[in-house]
Amino acid sequence: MRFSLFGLAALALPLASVGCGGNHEGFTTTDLHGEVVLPAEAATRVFSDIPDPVVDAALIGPVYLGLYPSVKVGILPYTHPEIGPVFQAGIPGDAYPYGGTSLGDIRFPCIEFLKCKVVSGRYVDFDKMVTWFNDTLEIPIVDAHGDPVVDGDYIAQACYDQLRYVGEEEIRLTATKDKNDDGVLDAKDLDFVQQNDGTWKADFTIYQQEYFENVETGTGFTLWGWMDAPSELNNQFTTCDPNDGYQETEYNLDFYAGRAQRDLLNFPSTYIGAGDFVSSAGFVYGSPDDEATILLDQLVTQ
Amino acid sequence: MSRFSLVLLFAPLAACDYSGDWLFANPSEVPGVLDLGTIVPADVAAGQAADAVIYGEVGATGSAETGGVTFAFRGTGGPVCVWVDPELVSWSQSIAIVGGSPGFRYPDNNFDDGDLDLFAGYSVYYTGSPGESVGNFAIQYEDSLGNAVPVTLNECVLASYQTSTGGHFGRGAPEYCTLQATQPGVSYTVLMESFSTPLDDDRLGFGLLLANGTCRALKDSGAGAVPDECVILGEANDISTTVIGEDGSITVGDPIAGSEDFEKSFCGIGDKPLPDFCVEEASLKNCLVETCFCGDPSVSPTADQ
Repeated sequence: MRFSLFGLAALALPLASVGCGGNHEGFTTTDLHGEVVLPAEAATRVFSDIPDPVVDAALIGPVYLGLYPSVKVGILPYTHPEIGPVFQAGIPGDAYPYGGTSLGDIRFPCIEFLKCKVVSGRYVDFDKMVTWFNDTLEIPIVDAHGDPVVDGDYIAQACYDQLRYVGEEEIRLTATKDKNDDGVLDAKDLDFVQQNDGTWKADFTIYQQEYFENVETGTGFTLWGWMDAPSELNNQFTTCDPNDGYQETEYNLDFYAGRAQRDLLNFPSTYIGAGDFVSSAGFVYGSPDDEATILLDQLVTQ
Repeated sequence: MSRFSLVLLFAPLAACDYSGDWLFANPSEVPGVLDLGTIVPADVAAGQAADAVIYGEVGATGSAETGGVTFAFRGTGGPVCVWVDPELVSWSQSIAIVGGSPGFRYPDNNFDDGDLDLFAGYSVYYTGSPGESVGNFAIQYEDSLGNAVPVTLNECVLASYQTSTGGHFGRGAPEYCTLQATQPGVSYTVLMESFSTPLDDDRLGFGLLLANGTCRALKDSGAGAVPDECVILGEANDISTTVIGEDGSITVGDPIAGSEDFEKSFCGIGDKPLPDFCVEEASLKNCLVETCFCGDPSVSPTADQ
């Protein structure tokens, strides 16, 4: 029997793998899928000059999901992930998350006035953003010259100019994908969609997550999360760092565009405050194939 | 034995060669892991930092094992500055036709520089064996699922462009940090981890300052602010003057002739700007065959390339 050099090399490769017990590293990584449910109150606000409570997805702030060893009641006035050792007085212990994601991203809306006040997946288009701030919140949007912004196209054009974008799908703040395939871009294409019972639901995926469990009990990690409600004063998010992120420096513009704080999942309590909603129980995984449903049902009051 | 049999014989061996030792430099005469013992923080008068500098040299481990230098000191109750400057200086050549950085238009000699990364913390947390092996300041915390979480208790906080902690300053660049409010009498360990040793001899000279007070105060002492690179001068030692004691102690000798002038030119405080230094050096030496501080200007890319 004759072997070509190529054939020998091909044979050697699997043998090499056998030599060290194969390439399996022992990791269990998988995409975790599930849904987040917000109570109706999370997207409802009473305005003094509007007769009825306003219900709108624009009131839903960024939602942060983390995977933790467990959640505890009693550490704080609300349910919170277990925390590690406290090394320094006044600084909370690290919650040591295994991973996580967010629903709605803090992105630069191209006008300095709006930084840290806008999250993706909450506005159908920029016109809605303008009317929401100018008319509903009565926090008038102004541009770099202090002039009022009354047209959504002005914001989009600012994005095109400053970030060299050519379409709203690149800005990634408004609804640009027909997620429910009904042929129109509307509120049903946002991250959170209101259900018949008044609650708001969104699907999530945590990509390529390594799975952890207690090897003795088989109990997996716990999914926990919270929603950072916008400030009633100026619609800002406490989870946004206004002094960091993309820096715009051109002509008379010189400012940071803001970005999500760097340690949100490690130190949630640093950023959670009154008006936010947290999960009172979390979701305990039994296997990496579980489809999680997590309810952010606990209103933080202090 | 047929070729097929040979393949069968050696394939498993090749598959298990994960150490990577063959990628690393051979061990040098100077050890790759050194311990300087206990050092007392110095009181540095304004403009007198040079008097307190401790010079040393560390080699390569000769394997994939991390090398480095450690020492200990006792907390004073106040801030203590740790400042280390590895041999020598390094820069990226500016090749832009328009604009660019004219001060760096000549290349550096990339073969004579090394890099030390600074870590420090309570000695009780240090996992290395001084003089034998390099460790870290990580402890293991076990969460409720039974998973070990490494917690780094390194107190030498260095900012980078990307993060507020965990940064390092790169090849040839000084690295420093202030340990604020050290606990009186408590032992601290400082690790200067060898990220790289010079490619030309695998022996890395360094200058070390351990001083009472903050690094900012050290930097600003004296007449005007001194560029970081020139707080310590002469760390590139002439290895032919290094004395290795029978007990393994390292006593470095003289700096390489001209290296301090080179550093001063880099800092912009020398007799001549860095480009002029490089041009003059290239006119006196053939940098293709002789060791120069700058690289050979003749190998610089041009607009035609």
